[in-house]
Amino acid sequence: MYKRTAYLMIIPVLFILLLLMVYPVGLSIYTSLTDRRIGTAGKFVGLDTYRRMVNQPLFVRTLINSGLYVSISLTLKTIFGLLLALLFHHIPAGRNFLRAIVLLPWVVPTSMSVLIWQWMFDPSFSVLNWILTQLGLNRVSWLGSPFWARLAVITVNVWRGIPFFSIALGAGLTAIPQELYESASIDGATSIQQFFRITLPLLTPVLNIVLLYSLVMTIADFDIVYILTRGGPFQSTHLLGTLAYQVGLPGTQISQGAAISLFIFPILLVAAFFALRTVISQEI
Amino acid sequence: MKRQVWMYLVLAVLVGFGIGGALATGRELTILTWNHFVPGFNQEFVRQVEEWGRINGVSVRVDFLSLPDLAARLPAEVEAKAGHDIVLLFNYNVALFKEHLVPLDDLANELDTLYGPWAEGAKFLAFLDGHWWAIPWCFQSLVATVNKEAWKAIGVSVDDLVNFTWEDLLRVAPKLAEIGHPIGFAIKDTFDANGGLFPILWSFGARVVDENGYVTVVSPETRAAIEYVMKLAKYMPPDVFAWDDAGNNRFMLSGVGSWTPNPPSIWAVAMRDKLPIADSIDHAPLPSGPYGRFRVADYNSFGIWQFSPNIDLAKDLLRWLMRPDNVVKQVEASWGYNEPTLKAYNEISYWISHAPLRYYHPPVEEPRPTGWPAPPGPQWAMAYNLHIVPLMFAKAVTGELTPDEAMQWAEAELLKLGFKSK
Repeated sequence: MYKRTAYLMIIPVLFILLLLMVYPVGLSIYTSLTDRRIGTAGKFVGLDTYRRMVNQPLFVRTLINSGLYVSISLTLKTIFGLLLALLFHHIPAGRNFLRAIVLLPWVVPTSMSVLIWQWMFDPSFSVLNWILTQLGLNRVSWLGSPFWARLAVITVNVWRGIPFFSIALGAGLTAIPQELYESASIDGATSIQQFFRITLPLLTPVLNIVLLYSLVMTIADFDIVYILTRGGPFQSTHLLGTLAYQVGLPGTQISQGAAISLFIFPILLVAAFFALRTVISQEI
Repeated sequence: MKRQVWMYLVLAVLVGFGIGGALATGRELTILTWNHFVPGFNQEFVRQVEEWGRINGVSVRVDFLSLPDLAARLPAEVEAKAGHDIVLLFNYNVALFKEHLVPLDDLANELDTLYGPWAEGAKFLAFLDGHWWAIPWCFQSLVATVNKEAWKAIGVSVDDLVNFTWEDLLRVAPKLAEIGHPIGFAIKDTFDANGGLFPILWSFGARVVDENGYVTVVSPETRAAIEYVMKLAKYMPPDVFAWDDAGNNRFMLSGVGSWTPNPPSIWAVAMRDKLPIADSIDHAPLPSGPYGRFRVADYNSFGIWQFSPNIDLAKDLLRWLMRPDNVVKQVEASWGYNEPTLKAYNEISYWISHAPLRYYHPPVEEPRPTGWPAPPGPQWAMAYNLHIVPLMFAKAVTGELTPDEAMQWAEAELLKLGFKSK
C-alpha cells in the first residue's frame, strides 16, 4: 500500500517533468530534423540541417568560442574558488561575514551585474580605462577587439561563478576529518603534501559535481554574452546559446536554432556520464 | 463547523473568480509596440489608445518592448497563435510575417485617399504581392547629428553641411579629430552601423542585393565605398569598433563627438535633461556622393495577426492612431522623432518651428530602408540580423580582410541565406 501511495505521489512530478522537459526536448530534436521557419510547418530533412551547420564558418567559430569560454572559465573558477575556500577554512574569525560578501556576485541578478560590467567596459567611458590611463598605460578596447571581448566575457563569468565554487568546496573541506591532517603532521608531511595527498583526493567527489554543474551552466550561458557583446565584435564571442537565439528567433530559422542549441547535448551527456561514474566509483 | 466555514469561504472565492472571469471577457484589444527612444512618448501613445478605448467601450492594453525583444516576441506569438491583436513590425518584419497577417487593403487605401500618398519606403516594405499587409505608422531616419560648436571652431556652419559631399567630410575629419571632437559612427556588428554605412554604399552607386534578389555586393562601387570608410575611420575614435546602438548617443551627449548619423533622440534627450550640450546639438543632411544623397530610414508598421478575435476593432484603432490630430500629438510627444508615412502630414509645422529639426523632416536626402533595393523577405531579415554589411566593412577597416576579400566574404554569406548568384 505504501508502495502504491509512493508511486501516486510522484505522478504529478513525473507529469511536470514530461511536460516541461521531455516534451520540449523532444520537440526541439524533431524541429532540428526539419527545415522549419517560424510560422511554417517545414518538412523533414533528416540530418541535412546539421550537415549544413557544421560547414558554416560562423558555427565552427562559435564552437571554438564555446570551447575556449568553458575551458578557461572552469579552470579559473576552480583555482580561485578553491583558493577562497582554503582561505575561509583557515581564517579564525569573520568567516561567515566574508562568505556572505563573497556570495554577492552569485546572488545579484545576472542582468544587473552584467549591465554594471558593461559600463565598466564601455568603449568611451570605461572606469577601467580611466585607471589604466592614470597609471600611464594605454586604453584597452574591451568590447571592440575579439581578444579583449573574449577576455571580458570570461572575466564576468568567472567573477559570477567563483562564489559557488568557494562555498561548495568550502563545504567539502569541512567534511574532511581533521584527524587525517593531524596524523599527517605527526608523520612530518608539509602543508603542500597534505594538500595534494589528503585535501585534493578527498575533495574530488565534490569537485566533480561542482565542475559538472558549472560545465552545464557555463556552456548554456546566454545572458552574459547577450548583454555585454551580443556575440560581437565580429561574431567573436558568440556561444551556442546566443547564436541559436539570433538565428532561431529574430532570424526565424527555428530549425537551425534548434540544431545549434542541441549540438552540445551529446557532449554534455558523455561528460556527465564520466563525471558521475568517477563520483560513484570513489564512493564505492 | 469550522471546517464547513472554510469550505464555504473557498467555494465563494472560486465562484467570485469565475464570475470575474466571465465579466472580464468583454471587448478587449491589445497592442504591442516598441519602447520609444524618446522618453515621454509612450505615455502619449497610451493616452491616445485609451481614449479610443473609452469612446468605443473597449478595454485596451498597450505593451512596450525594446526592438530586439520585439524581434524575439513576434515569432513566439506566431508559433503560439496567441498574443496581441496589433503588433509593431519593424522594417522587413512585414515581409517576414505576412503569411500570418490580415490584409489591410481597405484601411490603407482609405488612408491613402484621405492623407496620402504613402511614402515610397513605407509602400516598399508594407505593400507586397499586391496587398497591404500592415499600415505604415511612422518612420525615423538617421540624419547627421552635429555639434555645431565643434564645426564652428573649424569654420564650417551647419548650413554649409547642406552642400557637403563625402569627400568634403573626409577633408575636414582630421581637423575635427585634431580639436578633440572627432566624427564617428559604429563600424561593427550592430544595427546603428547601417545608418552610417548604407548611405555611403548607396551614394557611391553600390547595391548589396538588387531588386530581383541577385547578390551584387562585389563591385567597383562597393570597393570604392569600403576604401572611403577605411580612410574616414582613421579620424574616428577606436571606440567605434566597440559601440553598441547607444554608443554614438553617448559620444554626442558627452560633448566629445561632432558628427554622427542618428535620429533626433540625442537632441531630445539633451533638451529634456537640460544637458550642457543641448544648445550645441543640431542636424544636417548627410553628405552626397557621385550617385546621389541618401539616408537610412527605419519604418514602423502596425499589423494585425490573423488569430486576433478583434480584427475590425483593431482596424478602427489603427484608423484612430493615423488621424491628423493624433499624428500631430505623436510628433510632438516624440520631439519630432516620428516622421509621417503619409504625405499630408509633411505639413506638420513641428520640424520647421524647432530650428534644430529643419533638416530632419522632410529629408533632403532620399530616405531608404536598410538593404534597399533587396526584395523584402526572410533572406534580408536574416542578413540584417546577422549584420552582414557592417561586418563586411569592419573586416576591411580593421585589416582582417582586404576590401576584395571582405566583399567576397559578404557575397558568400548572402548566397548562403538564399539570395541568387548573378
